[in-house]
Amino acid sequence: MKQMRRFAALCSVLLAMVWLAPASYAASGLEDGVLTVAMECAYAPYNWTQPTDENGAVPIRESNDFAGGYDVLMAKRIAEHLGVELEIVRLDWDSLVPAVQSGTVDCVIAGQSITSERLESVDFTAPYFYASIVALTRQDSPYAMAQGLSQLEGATATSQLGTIWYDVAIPQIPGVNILTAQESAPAMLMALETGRVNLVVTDIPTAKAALQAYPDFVLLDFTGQEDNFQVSSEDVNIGISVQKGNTQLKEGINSLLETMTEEDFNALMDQAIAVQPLSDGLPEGFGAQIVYLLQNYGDSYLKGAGLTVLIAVVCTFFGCIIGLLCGIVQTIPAATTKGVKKVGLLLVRGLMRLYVEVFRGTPMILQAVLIFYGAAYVFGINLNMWTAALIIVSVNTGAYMAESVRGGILSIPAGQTEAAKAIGMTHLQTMLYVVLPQALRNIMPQVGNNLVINIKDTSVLFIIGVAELFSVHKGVVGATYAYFPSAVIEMAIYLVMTLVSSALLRWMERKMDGSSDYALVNQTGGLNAPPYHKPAEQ
Amino acid sequence: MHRPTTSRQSNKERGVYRMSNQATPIVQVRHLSKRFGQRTILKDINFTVNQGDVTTIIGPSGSGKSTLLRCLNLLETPTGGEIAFHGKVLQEGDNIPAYRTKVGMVFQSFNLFSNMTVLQNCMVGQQKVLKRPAEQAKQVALTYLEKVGMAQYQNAKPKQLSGGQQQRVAIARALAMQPEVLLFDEPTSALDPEMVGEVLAVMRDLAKEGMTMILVTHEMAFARDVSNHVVFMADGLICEEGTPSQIFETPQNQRTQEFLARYRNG
Repeated sequence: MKQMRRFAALCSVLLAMVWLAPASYAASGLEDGVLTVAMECAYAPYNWTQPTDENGAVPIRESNDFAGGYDVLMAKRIAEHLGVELEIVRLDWDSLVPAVQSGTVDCVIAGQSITSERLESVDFTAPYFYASIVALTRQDSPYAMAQGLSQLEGATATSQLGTIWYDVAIPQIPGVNILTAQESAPAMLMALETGRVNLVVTDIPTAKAALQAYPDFVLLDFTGQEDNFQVSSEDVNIGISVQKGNTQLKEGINSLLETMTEEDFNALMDQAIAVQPLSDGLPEGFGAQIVYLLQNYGDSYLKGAGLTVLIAVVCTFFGCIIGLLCGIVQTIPAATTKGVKKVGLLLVRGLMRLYVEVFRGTPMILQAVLIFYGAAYVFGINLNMWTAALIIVSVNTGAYMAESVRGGILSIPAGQTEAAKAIGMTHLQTMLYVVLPQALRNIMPQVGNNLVINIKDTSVLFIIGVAELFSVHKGVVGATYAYFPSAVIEMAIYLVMTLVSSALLRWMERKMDGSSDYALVNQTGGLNAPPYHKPAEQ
Repeated sequence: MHRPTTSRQSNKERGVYRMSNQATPIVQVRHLSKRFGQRTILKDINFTVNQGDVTTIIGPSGSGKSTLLRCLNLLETPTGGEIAFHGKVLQEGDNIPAYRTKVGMVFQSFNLFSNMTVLQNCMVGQQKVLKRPAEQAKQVALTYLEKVGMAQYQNAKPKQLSGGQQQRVAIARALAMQPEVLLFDEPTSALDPEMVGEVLAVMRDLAKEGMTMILVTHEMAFARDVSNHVVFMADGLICEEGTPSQIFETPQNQRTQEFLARYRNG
């Protein structure tokens, strides 16, 4: 039950494209016999990631992980009801609406509340859950025995960014001290666990799941009393979103939901909570928790790390090639060209300049959203997630490297170029044999910088669902709420990766420098040095 | 510095500049001018270099000597006038790289390719520009490295060598292209005094063997002993030219007299 205010900025960019969009998607999306469902897979007990298929978990597309939770149980029922195959796609929260809007997925089942704001972008089915609002506090807190909302007076509280818990419910606490909103449910629970706040406000499934991970938490549920959070029924209705105008799929899902009661929903939710990865609770103690995470999610971390390194290395490589091309073109002396060639050169240069400025000057996370979903939305091109990831990171690296290469080329003394020209080399030969080898050596530290940056910055790719290392973290904490231990594990892995890559690049630099010593050669093998002869043609 | 008297004699044997019957012009410069923006560096330069000439260009700093030399192999594009090579006027659209292989250049700051060894420095032009096979390029390179006494340093990188050694390699690099004319742009100005001698010795050998050379230098003793043609420049003009004895012993132009007086007194 989250709202997406922070999504609004992203969405408005995409909305601006809606008028450019080709014919509306009249199809139901089920023509391929597959119901493609997007969810975070990091929002227990609605949905979570687990390493195995136990308890009926479903494989996540383009990943080795499996998705479980209330949303998955519901999705399986819907697919069965519609007589199609089920496919689960893991996407970041902020990407869910653009994904369904652009037709990248058929529907989103992810614990979204049905808000009027969201209804402007997508269509919703009837509610598939009713989530009442509750508060969580710690046993040792003065509010642990509170009997009603008024007894929470003066508390320091927070919740998740962009939710009605934060926007509507918390301000109803008398004299409340509201701290900055947290980016996710696990982060919000961390704030409570570490004592930064006295209480957090959330919905009942999230609270119940949190109690599994944090046994010292107390659930404050004032349901049925006058002295409770006052919210409209709209705010607690959780729905399934489909693309606007896709009535066929919407009615198909509704025909199933009509047959279920609120009790059915609650029973299904209890079933999900019972098989949640942490249903036995996290072990006591920080070290034990780290061991627990490594035992249960070690493979996921390793795979995520491998993927991160792969993307970073491949994209740094391609980015360097892009940068090299741009850098070379930028340093061609325009004065030596004439006519059409000169106009062409200046035009290409202008475009490259634009490319560098745009990609260097905007956040990669927004570029990822625009390229991945924009391509589907405007041109109907469904980019493969990996293709999109490679393009985005390479093109970004290229934009940075273009300037590094330009600087590298400019740093080579003019005398080197003159000497090459003086023995008759063309501009291309001068570049290939004299300038670029030296420039490349000079920019190696920049290449290293970019590799390290890429290892870390691929983390924004979670927005388009790439299962790199950071998204593993989001998945793990979404399932276990073990935010802090998982963060420590991630930090360690990132640090190892960046240290190793730094060391490797240093080694490469030393290789390029060659030996610092040289051997004198007495047996030269040359001709006997004759007196200088004028060339034969004289 | 040791000054062999034989070289002066050899100049005389070759005959007085432009009075020889067999003089074959290689480079002819006519009405050459060069402007950088508003500044006029070269005004109206006219001179001829014959086969086997050793021409030294002397004159005060800023007189345009180096610019003139750089115009000769088109590192600078002249603003006006013409340059003829073997009587053929260089024109736009000519194959400039091919021309440059015949007119080599040695720079004040050596400019050895720092990403290559000594041997590679002397091979790369032969292989990439003259398209010589590696084995031949290596033999030619070693031939000239031996000539300048640097063959045993063939595996060294430029930064591992002294200035004098680097300049000798730079000369070998230019020679390896087997040019018809060698331009020297103040080849000893960046060197410590004790290294000047080893570079001048190499240049003196080349001159003796009949290499056509044009050099800008402040080494007046070298200009007097080795060259057979001296050009004195000031303010972008050639003030006076002639044989070394004409310029150094009986200079006619007042600027030349003033300039040389400073060297004699200094």
